[in-house]
Amino acid sequence: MNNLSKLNTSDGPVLSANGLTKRFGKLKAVEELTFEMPRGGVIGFVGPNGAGKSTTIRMLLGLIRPTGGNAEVLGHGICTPSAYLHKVGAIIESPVFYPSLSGSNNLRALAKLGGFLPEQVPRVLEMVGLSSRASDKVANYSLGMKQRLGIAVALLPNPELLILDEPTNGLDPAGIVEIRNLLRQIGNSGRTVFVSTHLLSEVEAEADRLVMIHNGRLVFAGELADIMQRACEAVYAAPENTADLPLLTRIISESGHLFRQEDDAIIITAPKEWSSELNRLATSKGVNLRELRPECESLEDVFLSMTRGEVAT
Amino acid sequence: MNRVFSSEWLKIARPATVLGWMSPVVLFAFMGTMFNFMDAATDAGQFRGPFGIAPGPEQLAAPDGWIIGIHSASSFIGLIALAIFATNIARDYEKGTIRILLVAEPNRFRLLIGKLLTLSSFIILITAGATVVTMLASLVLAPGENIPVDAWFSWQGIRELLIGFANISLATIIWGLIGGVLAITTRSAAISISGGVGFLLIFELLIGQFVESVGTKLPATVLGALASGGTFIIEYSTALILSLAYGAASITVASLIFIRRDVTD
Repeated sequence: MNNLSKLNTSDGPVLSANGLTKRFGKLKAVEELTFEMPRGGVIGFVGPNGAGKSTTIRMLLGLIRPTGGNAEVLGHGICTPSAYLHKVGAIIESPVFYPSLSGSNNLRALAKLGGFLPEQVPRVLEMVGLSSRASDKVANYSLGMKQRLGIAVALLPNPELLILDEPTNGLDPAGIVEIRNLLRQIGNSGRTVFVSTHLLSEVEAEADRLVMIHNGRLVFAGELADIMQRACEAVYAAPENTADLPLLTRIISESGHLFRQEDDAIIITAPKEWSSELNRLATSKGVNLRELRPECESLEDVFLSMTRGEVAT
Repeated sequence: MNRVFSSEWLKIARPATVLGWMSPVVLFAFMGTMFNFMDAATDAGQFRGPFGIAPGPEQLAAPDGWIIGIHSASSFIGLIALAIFATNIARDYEKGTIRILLVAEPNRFRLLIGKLLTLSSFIILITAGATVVTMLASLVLAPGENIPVDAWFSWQGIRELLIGFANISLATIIWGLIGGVLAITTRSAAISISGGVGFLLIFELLIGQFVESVGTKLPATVLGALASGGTFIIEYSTALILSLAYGAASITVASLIFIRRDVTD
């Protein structure tokens, strides 16, 4: 990834949507999607299968027209994709290629089509670790290699914005970590990576910001840190001596916080900053704490709790 | 447009693709030539199904005699052109490669016209190959049937050769454009090829049987007449105008559908 130069991009949101809607007949695939994302970093676009992620991405790439609302990519309306797609690299769903052509010839054909520099081909192949298999026919590639080639295609235009739909599908754990690091480095270079996935744990590991959708509707759009803060509204405390558990319970009860006991520990509904206060109170009453830490839910749990009402219906 | 053209050529300029499509075209051209020269004296004027009416020795000795073979096979070659266009375009939908093409070249009209130009140039290439085979086969077969070849090498013969090549190329390209519009409409190579062949060879024949006035204006008949430089049913000028109209209509319909329709699969 040392091939990736820093990019100076203009200001303004990288992506914005205002009431973006797509219906297929009676089916509402995407409904009234409204969000705005600043440039740079990695944006996770998450939601379960069938949430409307791919439909949204297709609209952003000009492959399908919205039924209502509008959206902008790099400051240009999605009704004029020619104005911005030369600065956008993308994988849409599973990457597809011409199987009888080699990996490098697939890239050369797309580089010619897009008017990208031919020197980009070996460069991007090296970036995704496919240089040694570049002359092999794509028909002989594994799914993971096709995913890497898909990312290479997306990198061809030296893009300001990468839109990737499930880029780690079919990769082994080592490959997932490698691609995650690659995306992270791209995000750190001033470019923006908009990566869709249904694997929330993956996004938790790599994203700076999130757009969450469910049943075609927006659930959350903002900083990952904000949503994780919501997930960390609890403190886990365990006394060194289990005999101190009743005393610790009384201390917490007197502080006015809600709590529940779990085995030989107590989980208190409180911001993580309250941990130091609890530590001070416990020490003053002679209770030593074996463990004191913020208790965080996973992003998956947060997502489920945010969409529970809809899931139940 | 140049970008699309060079990109598409990179995909089709492979020995397997060129030989795979050129082989049947050359084979049909050779068969047409062979049937023309075999028993030319006895079979003249007989109807030979898709290979048309057998020319007599006088026709074969005329300045255009050395490319009559490819005229006779023009319907077969046209169907192969239809299959080439349909396969190339429909496979982008079937495999999903249309998505990456449209992201790299979002101007859909430019992408479509570039593709059609590439395929048309490919058709000209394989038609040229078939024409050369027809000429060589005619030269080899003519002495056996005592057919003089002097007129073929006259200025008139060279002129007829070039005009004949232009006519067969144009007719074959329009066959291809019909395949292209079918592929864009159905997004399936199999359906567009079988539908095209079914209509042009069977349905059109049936219409021609029942409504003769309409039958002479339908695509396969008109394009056959163009490839042959006119027939006794359709004059060359009429065939040329109608063929160009079919070509223009195909490009217009294909463009409208290609530009306006969502790429959902």
